[in-house]
Amino acid sequence: MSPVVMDWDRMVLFTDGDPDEEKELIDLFTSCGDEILLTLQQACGSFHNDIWLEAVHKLKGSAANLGAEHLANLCTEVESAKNGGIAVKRALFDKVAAAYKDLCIQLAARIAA
Amino acid sequence: MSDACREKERMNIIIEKAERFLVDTLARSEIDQALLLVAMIKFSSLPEKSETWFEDVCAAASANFSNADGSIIRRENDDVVVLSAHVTRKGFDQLLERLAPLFGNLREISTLYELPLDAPTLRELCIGKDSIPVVENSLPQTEQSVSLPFLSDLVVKTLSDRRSKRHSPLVQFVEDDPFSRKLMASVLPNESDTLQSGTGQSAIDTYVTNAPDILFLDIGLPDIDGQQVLEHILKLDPQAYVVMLSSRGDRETIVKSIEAGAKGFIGKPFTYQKLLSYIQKSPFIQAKETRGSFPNVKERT
Repeated sequence: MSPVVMDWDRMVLFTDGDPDEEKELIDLFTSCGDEILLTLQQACGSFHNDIWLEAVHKLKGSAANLGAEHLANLCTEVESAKNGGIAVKRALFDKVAAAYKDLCIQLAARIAA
Repeated sequence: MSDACREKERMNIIIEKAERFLVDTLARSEIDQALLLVAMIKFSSLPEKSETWFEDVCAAASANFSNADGSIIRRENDDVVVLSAHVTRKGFDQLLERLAPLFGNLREISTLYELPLDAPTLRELCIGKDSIPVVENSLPQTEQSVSLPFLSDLVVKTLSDRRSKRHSPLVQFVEDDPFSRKLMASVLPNESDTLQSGTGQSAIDTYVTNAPDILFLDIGLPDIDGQQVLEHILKLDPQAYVVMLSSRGDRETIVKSIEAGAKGFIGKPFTYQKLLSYIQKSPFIQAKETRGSFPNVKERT
């Protein structure tokens, strides 16, 4: 079975379903996530792996804690392909960015509901 | 208004600001006398300064601490005193680096002290014309390379006492990712029952100042390794109830943490139940529970 984009049950455990708290957490996640994604994008064009790996690791941790299983799994995959070179990194970045975008759509829909 | 009146009014504002800072710090620390890091930068010795020089200093210092954490005082002779319960030597170094493009190298005219401050000493400090008043136990400039905060016996010795006397529970979360930190802290509905730190250095400062009942400590921190923070805290507070957090859930990391004195280990992603379970296991929280002040947390399934 493929991992879910977002496990809302996990989030509800922490927020007890309080919509204001959910919004606060989601806003914080996306503001940190946007920054990490930008770092990742900039690190794509470099052979220097440290920044790239650190950014992916951070995103993986945040996503897993949020309950964003698909994005977290994708980040694990990216971590294991650390020696892939610039072309591989760019392709992986595109996958991560697409997953992040899908997640943000779900998060925004939740806030709007 | 005469110049003398204006100057008197300015000094009163300065003293009032510093005293408010002192009162807030004392209240937060639950001790009778605040122990503060005091940085003195002798701007009076600079031959030329721009009209906005003091505003520039304040702007640079605001990166180190918020208004709640510190206070910047311009003395009558233009020397600047920075008071903070949290700023560390490393933070002070960063402040000097930020000021260097504006004022050049300020190290020669800067000194960092650690002073037990009470209200009269503070008043003298603000209005003094020459040097910082000599206070017993004051610590003149030490090696700049020391990155961990210098902690006084007073604060360390009272740690256990302050924790047991406090009625409300206090849980500290140390994690460099702001989202994950906030998520963990949401286990406790009252934000006032939580402390949050993003670096190892601020974790130690915050721990010693506030004496929490349990500390959740991430191993991967940007400045100091979580294991080192654990060792440092246990040296200061051997009874500390520390639970380590890490995405590296390997046996070696867990064993190392437990051998060093951690009371538990949570692999990431953490769960609500795991966090709650450790909070309930803390003997300091349990002691508060028997006094009827258990944190307002609910079992959620």
